[in-house]
Amino acid sequence: MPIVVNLDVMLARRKMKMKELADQVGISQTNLSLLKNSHVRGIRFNTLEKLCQVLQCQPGDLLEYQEEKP
Amino acid sequence: MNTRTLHLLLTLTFWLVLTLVLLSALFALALPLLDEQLLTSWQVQLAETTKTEVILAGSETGLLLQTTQGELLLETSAFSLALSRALTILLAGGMVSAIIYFLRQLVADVSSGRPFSRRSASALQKTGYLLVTLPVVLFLEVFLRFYLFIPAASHNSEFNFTHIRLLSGSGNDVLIYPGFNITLLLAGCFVLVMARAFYVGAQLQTDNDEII
Repeated sequence: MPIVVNLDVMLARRKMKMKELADQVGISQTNLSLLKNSHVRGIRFNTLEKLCQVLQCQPGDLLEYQEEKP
Repeated sequence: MNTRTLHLLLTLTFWLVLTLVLLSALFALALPLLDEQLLTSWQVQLAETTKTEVILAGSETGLLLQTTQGELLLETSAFSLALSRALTILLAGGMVSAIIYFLRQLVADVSSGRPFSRRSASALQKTGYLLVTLPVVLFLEVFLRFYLFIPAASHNSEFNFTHIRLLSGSGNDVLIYPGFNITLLLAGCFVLVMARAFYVGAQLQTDNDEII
């Protein structure tokens, strides 16, 4: 998928663990892991809002568009 | 009534119907072996109505009794009729049992809190097809039974797609109209539409599950 989720980068920058983030955002670790590995079809605005709030970043810091190679 | 109770009731009904169907089929097969006569009947209409005057007791007033309908009975001890009856019972009873089984599956999905799944949509679709097929099977069975068991039926009758005209030697022909349960057909169509809606619901549910 051309949309890449840079959640692991942000977690490393904030020195935060997956479990900690999952607890603060209010979603399961499984779902967070799926999101981190770009194995989901989409993300709700309220989930994105909570992630940005907890990680103190902008949506653009978490999501990135990478053009697919032909 | 909650879904757990409904599921339990449907499970009980399913086993009860299945047992009754199997017992009835076995009973139908066993009757000729026990030298019992089998009776088969067709609801008929008379081509010509017969009129009889009924005089009321203690009165001079006469009422007219008009006979337009009746029942054609055939008594036989042929094993083939027993076999045909057993097959009809197994077919119709099997279809009814399958309908109850699929409804039970649907109720189980509803009670699990996720009614919109491919399994419940598929169960509804199969129920719909069975409900549409059942009246057609029962309709055709009347014709089939007539041509199988009435002696020289092809010579003594006219087939008219909606009915059979049984040519009588006495001049009063008899018309056999097989009953067609339109309610079951409409219920089947309704269930098929519901099944389609459940397929859409299942797709939306999958989309929802894959969005975090």
